[in-house]
Amino acid sequence: MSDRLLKPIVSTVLGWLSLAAVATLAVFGLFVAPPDEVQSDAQRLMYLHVPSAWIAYLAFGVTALASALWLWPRTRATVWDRVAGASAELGVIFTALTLILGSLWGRPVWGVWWAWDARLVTTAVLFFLYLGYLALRRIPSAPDARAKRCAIAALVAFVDVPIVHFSVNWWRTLHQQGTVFNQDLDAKIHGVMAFTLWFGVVAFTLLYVYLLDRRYRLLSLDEDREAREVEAAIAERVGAAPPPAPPTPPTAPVEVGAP
Amino acid sequence: MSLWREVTLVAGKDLRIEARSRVTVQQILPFGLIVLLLFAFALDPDRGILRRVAPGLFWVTVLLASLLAVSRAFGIEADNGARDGLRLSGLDGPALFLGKAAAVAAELLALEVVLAATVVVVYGIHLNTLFPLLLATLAATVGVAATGTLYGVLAAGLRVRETLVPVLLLPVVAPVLLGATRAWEAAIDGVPSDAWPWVALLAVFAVLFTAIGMLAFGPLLEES
Amino acid sequence: MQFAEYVITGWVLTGVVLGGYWLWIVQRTRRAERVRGRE
Repeated sequence: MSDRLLKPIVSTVLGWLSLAAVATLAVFGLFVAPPDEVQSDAQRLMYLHVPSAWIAYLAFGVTALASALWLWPRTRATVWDRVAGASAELGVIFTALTLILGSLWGRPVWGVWWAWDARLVTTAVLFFLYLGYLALRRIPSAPDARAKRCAIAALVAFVDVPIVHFSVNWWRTLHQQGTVFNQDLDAKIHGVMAFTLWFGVVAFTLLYVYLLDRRYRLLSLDEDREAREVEAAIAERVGAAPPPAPPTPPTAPVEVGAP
Repeated sequence: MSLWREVTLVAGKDLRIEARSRVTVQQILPFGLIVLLLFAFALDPDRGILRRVAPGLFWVTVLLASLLAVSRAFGIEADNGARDGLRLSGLDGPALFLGKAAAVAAELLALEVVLAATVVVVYGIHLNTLFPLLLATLAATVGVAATGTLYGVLAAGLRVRETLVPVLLLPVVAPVLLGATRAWEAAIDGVPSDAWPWVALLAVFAVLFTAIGMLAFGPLLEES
Repeated sequence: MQFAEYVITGWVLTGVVLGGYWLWIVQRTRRAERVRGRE
């Protein structure tokens, strides 16, 4: 029964590891790393904004890959459909975070809450592509029909993102209004700052994998329960006794407190 | 039957239905015209602004109209087991896709002619250098029609089809809006040769999404 | 810290969102496992 992606012990360790990593990132990002020459302390938001953006795109890639694996007949399995769904939800959250953090960073640095810069705009489009995918997932259907629909939608969206990025980037380069929206602001970091940024990416990746497994587990539980409810309802209609629930596996301890 | 014959069969069916029901002409076109009018109300009546943003407003209007056109294209397949009919017809997925997309594209092109004429008259722009303009329009229309048909069939059997397709389609065709508007701006107000890169982008989009549509239409129709 | 309001808001918001999401998953998972255990 593929109701988890990681073994319980791995998941627990990963959970604590992610927590420690994010805490360390906070220490580095808020205290150890020096303020930037140009942006001063606003730089500290970068240590969250960039890793968030990285995860937003990673999650999207995972959704696309899982969708492709589901669509390919030889690798088709429920696990891929569920990974795609779980990853998409994580992706939406990190995309939203990226946009909000970008805003909070942009206001002190650029003086505006939003800028029509290629990366921000592409991330905004990505957000809406995700939302559409999640809306599609919520529509109740036969599992295979829904999975196929969602998988194709995810791949189409995946193909679209580079096109969006390319076209917006081109458009904004043509209209570049000088150095107000200087995109090089993050190209000059080094030393502790570069380490912190890299560490942030690592910490967020660990967190993403951990949350993906947990979300996948929840998704499996929910979808299995729904499938059983449908079967029971059908059996009731037909007049037969509902099918027996599968025996609860003996090694599925309900975790109290620990991640 | 050859691919070409199948495509013309399907496109012909859709266009014949349109000729008899006249939904595009009597409902979608007025919708487009009203939207153009509303933009004029929403923006400063000072003609300077409208003239500057005319290409953008034109293409936004076209996109909104395409939502209706796509909705209609699959609305006609909703009753009387029409989709079952398509599945059992023996026609190939790619042919079905190309036929339906071609019909949508044809309807959009007809709409665009009227809407463009309106924009010229009401917003006060001049359409110089028609060639890049026409190519951009053609490529953009094919791109929108293809992507719309793809999402249309994806949502075909769903009760929420009409609210779902816009949310899925519009983000994906954002590059088309971008490219088409920039191409029109270059052709009308700027340096016409600046339009060509955008035309290329629009062409790539059109070809890509037509290919995707041809591959995905059959499998999606099976599940609808 | 300069721009402290932005920096602190950003970090706190991130913590709240991610922590809250984790909590939501954990609670819903427990509930689902309890339901499955009851069947």
